[in-house]
Amino acid sequence: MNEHSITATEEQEKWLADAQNVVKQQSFYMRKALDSSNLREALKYSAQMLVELRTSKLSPQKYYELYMQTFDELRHLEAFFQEESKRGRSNADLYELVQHAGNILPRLYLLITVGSVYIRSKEAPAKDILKDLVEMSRGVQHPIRGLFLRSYLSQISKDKLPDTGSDYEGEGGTIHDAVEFVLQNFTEMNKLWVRMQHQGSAKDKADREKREKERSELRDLVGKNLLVLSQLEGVDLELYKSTVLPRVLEQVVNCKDEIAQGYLMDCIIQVFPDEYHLQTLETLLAACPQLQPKVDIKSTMAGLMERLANYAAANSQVLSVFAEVEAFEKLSTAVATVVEAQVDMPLVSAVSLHVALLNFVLRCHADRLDYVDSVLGSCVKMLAGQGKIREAKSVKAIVALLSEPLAQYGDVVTVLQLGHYGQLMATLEFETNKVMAVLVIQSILKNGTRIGDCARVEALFQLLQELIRDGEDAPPVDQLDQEDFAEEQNLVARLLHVLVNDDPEEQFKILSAARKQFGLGGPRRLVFTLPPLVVESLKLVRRLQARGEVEEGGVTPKKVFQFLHQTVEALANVPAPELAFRLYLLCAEAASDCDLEPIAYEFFTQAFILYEEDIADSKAQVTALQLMTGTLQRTVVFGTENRDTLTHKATGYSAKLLKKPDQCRAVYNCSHLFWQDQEKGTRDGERVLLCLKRALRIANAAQQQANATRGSGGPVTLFVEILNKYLYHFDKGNQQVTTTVLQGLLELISTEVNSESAVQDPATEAFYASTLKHISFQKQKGGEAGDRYEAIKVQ
Amino acid sequence: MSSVPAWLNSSSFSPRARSPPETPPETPPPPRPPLVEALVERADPLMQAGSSGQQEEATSHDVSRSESSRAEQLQAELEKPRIDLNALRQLATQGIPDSGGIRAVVWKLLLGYLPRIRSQWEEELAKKREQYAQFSQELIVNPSEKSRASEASDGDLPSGGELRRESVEGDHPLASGQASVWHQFFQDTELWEQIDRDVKRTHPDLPFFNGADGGSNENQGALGRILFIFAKLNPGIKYVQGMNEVLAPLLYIFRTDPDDKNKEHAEADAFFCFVELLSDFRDHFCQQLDNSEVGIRATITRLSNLLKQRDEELWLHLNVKIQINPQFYAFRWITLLLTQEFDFPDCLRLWDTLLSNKDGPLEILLRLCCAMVICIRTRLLGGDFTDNLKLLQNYPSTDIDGIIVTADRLRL
Amino acid sequence: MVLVLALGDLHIPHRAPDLPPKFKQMLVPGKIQHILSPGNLCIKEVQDYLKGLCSDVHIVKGEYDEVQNYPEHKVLTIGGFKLGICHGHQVVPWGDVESLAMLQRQLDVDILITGHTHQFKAYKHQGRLMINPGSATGAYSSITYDVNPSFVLMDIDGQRVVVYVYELVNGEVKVDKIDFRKPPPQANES
Repeated sequence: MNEHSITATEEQEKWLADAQNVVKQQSFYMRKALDSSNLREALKYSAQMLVELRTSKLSPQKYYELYMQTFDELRHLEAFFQEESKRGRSNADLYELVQHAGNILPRLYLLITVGSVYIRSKEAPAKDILKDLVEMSRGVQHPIRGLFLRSYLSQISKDKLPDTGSDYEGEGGTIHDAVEFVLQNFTEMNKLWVRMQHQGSAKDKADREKREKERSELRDLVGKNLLVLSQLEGVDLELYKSTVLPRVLEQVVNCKDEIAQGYLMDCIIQVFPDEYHLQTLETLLAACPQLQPKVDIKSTMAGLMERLANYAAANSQVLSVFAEVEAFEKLSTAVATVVEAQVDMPLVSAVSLHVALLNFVLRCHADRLDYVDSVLGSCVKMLAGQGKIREAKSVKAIVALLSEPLAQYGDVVTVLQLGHYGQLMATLEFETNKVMAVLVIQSILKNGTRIGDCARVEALFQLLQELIRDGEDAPPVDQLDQEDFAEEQNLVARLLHVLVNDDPEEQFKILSAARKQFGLGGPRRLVFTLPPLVVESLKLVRRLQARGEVEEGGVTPKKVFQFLHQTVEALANVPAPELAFRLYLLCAEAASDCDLEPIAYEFFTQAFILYEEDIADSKAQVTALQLMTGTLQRTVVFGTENRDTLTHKATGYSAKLLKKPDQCRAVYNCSHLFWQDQEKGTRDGERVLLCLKRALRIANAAQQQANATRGSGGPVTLFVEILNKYLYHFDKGNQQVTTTVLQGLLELISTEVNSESAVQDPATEAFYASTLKHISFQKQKGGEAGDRYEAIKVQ
Repeated sequence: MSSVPAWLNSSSFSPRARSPPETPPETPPPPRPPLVEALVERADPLMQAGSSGQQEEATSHDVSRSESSRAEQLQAELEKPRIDLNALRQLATQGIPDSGGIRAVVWKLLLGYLPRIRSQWEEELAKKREQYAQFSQELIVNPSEKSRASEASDGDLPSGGELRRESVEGDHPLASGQASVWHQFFQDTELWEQIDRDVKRTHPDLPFFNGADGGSNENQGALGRILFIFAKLNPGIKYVQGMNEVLAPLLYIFRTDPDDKNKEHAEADAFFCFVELLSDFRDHFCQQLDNSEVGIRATITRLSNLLKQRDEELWLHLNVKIQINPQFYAFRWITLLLTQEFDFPDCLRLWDTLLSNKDGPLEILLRLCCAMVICIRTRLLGGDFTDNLKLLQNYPSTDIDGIIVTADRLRL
Repeated sequence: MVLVLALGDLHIPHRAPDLPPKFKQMLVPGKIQHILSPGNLCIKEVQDYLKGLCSDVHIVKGEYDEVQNYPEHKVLTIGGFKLGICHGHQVVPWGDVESLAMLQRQLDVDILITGHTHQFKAYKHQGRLMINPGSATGAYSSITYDVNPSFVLMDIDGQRVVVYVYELVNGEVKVDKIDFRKPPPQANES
C-alpha cells in the first residue's frame, strides 16, 4: 500500500514533468512565432501546447500546476492578439480563425483568449460574446478539464462583465446579462464538480475518500463564481432577492450533493452582506431542510446566526430591522424544521443548533426572556422521550444552554423566570445535573443575589433537587465522594442565608418551604442544611421581637420557636447530639430574650436530655457544660423554681465529670450561675461560696490523687485558678468572700509552691506571679476596693 | 605569529628562563617595585611549585618597605591644598597601603566624590551626607512609623478599661490606593526581598559582612539600603544581581576608615561613590542594552578583540580551536569588576589600579581581563575545553601584581 | 514590622454565606505574616482560605469547628509581644473582662485574643491588651444584637503595636486604630 502510493506519487510527478516539458517546448515555438508576428504558426504551437491540458492522468493538484503554466503562456498570446487588433485585424476574423483548431479543448481556450480581446475592443456586445463562450464551453464535459476551462473563462471575464456602471454596460448589455452569464457558468461548474463524485467506484472506500479530498481541493473554483456575483455593483438587494439567491439556491438544492451543499451554503453566508441575509432569511432558511441528510447544516446555520449576531452587535440601529423581519422567529422555526427534517442528525448537532440560536438571542435580544425560554423549550421538546442524556458532547451542549443565561444575566432571579430551565436541567443525568446545580448556587453567591420570593425559592429548589435529596438517578449517598458531598451540602447551607425577605411573613414562608425541602434530604444532609435554617429562624425571631404588634394569624415568635423546636429535634434524631445541644441552647437564650420562660425552660430541658442520653465523650461533656453554664449564666427569665432546677442540674453534672481537674473547673464556673450582673440577675453570695469551696475540695482530691499515682504533689494550677475565682467574687463585692479566706488560700498556695515535692512548673509560677501582681494592682487602685485589699498580705 | 608582541615570549612569560627580557619593550614600563619582575614570573601558578615559600618572605618584606615609602608619598600628595590627580593616580595605581585610611580618601578622590580643593572637603561631604539622609527618609518607607501616632496611648489608663479607637481617614495596611504609604511599601517588598537575598550572600566568608556580631548586621543593612535607594532613584535599571558585589569593596573601605566621622557616614559616602563607579558600567547592568554597542556583549567582544590583537595564538586556541565563548568567563569578570576572582585583599589592590586609570576604569578593566588570560597562557594552550573553562571560571590564586604589570604592558 | 491578622467567628456556613466581598478584596496574599484566629470558622474550607492568605495560621477551637485538632488555646511570641488566643466560650461569664483577665494571667500573655461575643472590643487591663476582633462575617450571635462584620490587623513593631480595626458599617469599611506600647518591665514589677 505504502509502496504503491509512493509509485503513484512518483508517477504523478513524472506525468506532470513530461507535460510541462511539452508546454515549455511548444510555448517556446509559440513565442518565437509571436516575435515574428506569424499568426498561423503561433496558433499552431499554442494549440499544441494546450493539447497537454487534455490529459486525464493528473490529479487536480498537478493539473492545476499545469494549468497555471499554460495560463501564463496564454497571456503572451493575448497580448499579441491585442496588438493584432490594434494593427487593424478584425477581432471577428480572429474569433473565427481560432475555431479552426482541430481539438475542442485547445480551441475553446483560444476562443476565450480571443474573446477577451474581442470584448475589450467593443466591436461586438460583451453580452453576446460572453453568451457564446459560456454556451460553447458546454462542449467539454470532462469534470476536471471542464472545471478549469470554465475557471479560465471566469477569470478572463470578471473585469469585462456588463455590470452596472462598468465600461461594458449599455451596448454591451445590462447587469442582468452579467448575472445570467455568471449564474450559468456557476451552474455548469457545479454540475461538473458534482459529477466528479460519480467517477470511479462508489463502493471502494479509499477511492471515494481520495475523490472527496480531490473535490474539496477544487471547491474554490466553483465558489469563486459566488464571490464574483457578490462583487457586482448591480447586484442590489432587489436583484439578489429576486434572481441571484433563488437561482443559486435552486442549484444548491437540486444538485443533491452533500459536499457541494455544505460548502456552497457556507459560501453564500460568507460572501453576501449581512443585510441581504437579514432580508432574505426566509428563502435562505427554507433551503436548509431540503439539503441532503448528511450535510453539516448545523455549522452553516450556526455560522449564519453568529454573523447576524455580530452584525447586530456592531450596528445597534439594525436591531429594529431584526424585529421587523422577525429574524428570531424565522431562525427558530428553521431550527425546528431542520431538526425534524434531518432524522439522522446527531443529537449533539441538534442541541448545538439550539446553543447557536440561544447565543443569537442573548446577543441580539437579551431583554427577551420569552425568546430565551422558547429556545430552551424547543430543546426540551426535541429531547422529549430521550430519557437522561448521557452522551458527553450533547451533555456539554446542554450545559452550555443552561450556563449561558446564568453568565449573561448574572442573576438567578432572572433565570428562575425561564419556565423551561428546570425541565432542560432535568434531562441531565445525576452528576452533570449536580454540577449545574452547584454552578447555580455559585452564581447566586458570587453575584450577591438575594432571593426573597417564596415562589422563586421553590422554583430554585426545583433546580437544586439533585443536591437536596436523593434522586431516582442518584447513587446511594454513602457511595458518594464524602469530600465532594460535604462541599456541595455546605454550598446549600450557604445559599440559605441569601433567601431573605424583609417581610417576616414571607420570610417564614421561605423558611418553612426550605424546611420541607431539606426534610427530604435524609439524615446525611440534615446535618448540613438544618443549622443555617435554625440560625435564619432565630434572626427572624429577633425581627419579630422588634416588630411588636402582630395581625391576627400572623407569624409570632412562639410560632417560630415551635418551628425551631421541631427543626432541632430533627437534628437530634439524625443523630447529631452535640450540634443539636448547641442549637437548643441558642434557642433557649433567644426565648429568654423574648421573655418566654416556659419555652426557654423547654429548650434547656431538651439540651439536658441530650447531655444525659447522647453526649458520652468526656471532652465533649466538658465543652457541653461550659456552653450550658455560659448560657444559663446569661439567662434572667426564670423564676426561682425553674432556675434552681436548672442550676442544680448544671452543678451536679459538673461535679460528675470524668477527670478531677475538669470537675473542678466546671464547678468553679458554676459559681457564676449565682452571681449575675444583669438587672434582674440573682446574687446569692452563699451559693457562690459553696461552689468555690466545692471546687477547692475537688482540687484537693486531685492533688491527693496525683500524690498517690505519681508520688509527688501535682501542679498547683487549680489552686491558683480557684484563688483567681475567689478574687473575682471578692472584687464583685460578694461579702461571703472574706480577706481571711483569701489569706488562707494564698498561704496554702505559697506552701504548695515552695514545698519540696511540688513539681516545678514555670507556667504555674508565672500564673501565680501574675495573680499576685493583680492583687498589688488592686491595692494601688485606692478607694473602696483598695481599702478592702489592704488587709490582704502578700509575701 | 607576528602579531604576538616580543615581550610575550620574554622571560616573564616563559616557564624557566630567569634572565632579563631579550628585547626590551617598546615603551618602558611604569615605575614599579623592584621585585615585580620576579612576581610576574610567578604569574602562571604552575610555576609556583617548589620555590615559592622562600620567595614569599623576601617579597613581602621588600614590598612592605616600598609601600611604606609610597604611603609617605601619598600622604604628602593628600596634604596639598589642591590635589594633583595625575600624581595621585601615578602613586595609587601601584597600590595603596591598607593602613591609615589612605585608601578611603584616595578612592573618594579618584571617583570624583571629593573635590580637588582640600578646603572644600568638609562642606561638600556635609552636603552629600545630608542629601543621602534625605533620600533615605523619602525612599525607605516605614509605614509603621508613618501611621503611628507620635506617642502611644499607654500611660493614660493605669488601671485599664476600653481603649479609645481613633478613626483612620487615609492610610492603613490593607489600603490599595497609590497614595497609600502601605501600598507603596508592599510594592517595594519584592525589591527588598531580592536585594536582601543577595546581600546575605555577599562575601559570606568575611566577618565584616557575615560575622556573628551586630556590626556585620549593620553592614548588611547598609548594603541593602544603598542598593534599594539606588534602585528607586534609577527605575530604568533598578537592582540587578551583582551590584552588591560591586558595592561591597567601597562600603568595606569606608567603614574601616579609622576616622570616626568618616566611619559614621560610610554608608552615604559609599552610596555616592557607588553611583560614580556605576556611571561607567551601568549599561552592563541593563538587560535591554545587552546586545547594543554599549551593552555587555559588545564589551566582551572588545575584550576578545584585544586578546586577538595581543596574543593571536592564544586567541586562536581559545576561540577557534576549542571554542570557548568568552562570555562564559568574561561576563562575570567585567560586570562584577573582578570582585569574584580573587581574595578580597587582592581585589582591593586591583581596584587601586582600576580606579586610578586616567582613561576611565573600563579600559583598564579590559586590559586586566586580557592580562588574566595571558598570564595563564601556558596552561590554556595545553588545556582542552573543559580544563580551560574550569580554569577561567575559577581563576587560580595568583600574584595580583603580575596581572597588573601585564595589563599595563597591554597599553599601546 | 510584622502584620498579624486576627479574625474569627466566621460561622460559615451555619450563620453566614461568606466573608463580605469588601473584606475579601482587601485581604490579599503577600501582606500578612501571621493569622491568629480565635476559632469558629466552622468548616475546613475557611481554614484553607486563610492558609491562602498567609502560610502561618494559628487557630484555636470554637464550639462549632469541624476540624477536631485545634487546641483550646495557644501562646506565641511575635516581636516583643507574647500573644495568647482562645475562643472564649470556656470563660464564664462570656465576654467578661475580669474573667478574661484571669485567662490572660494564666497564659501570661501581653495580648489576649478571644472571640465568641461577635463584638469588637479592645481593653487595656493592668498594662496588658485584650482584643476581641468580633465576627468577620457579622454572624448572628445570642450575645450581641446587630453584629457588624469586623476583624483586626495588628502592626507589631518591637514593643509597640498599632491595632487596626476593620468594621463594615452600612456597607462601607470603616477603619480605626489603637496605638499601644508595652509598658516597661519595671512598671509591671511595681
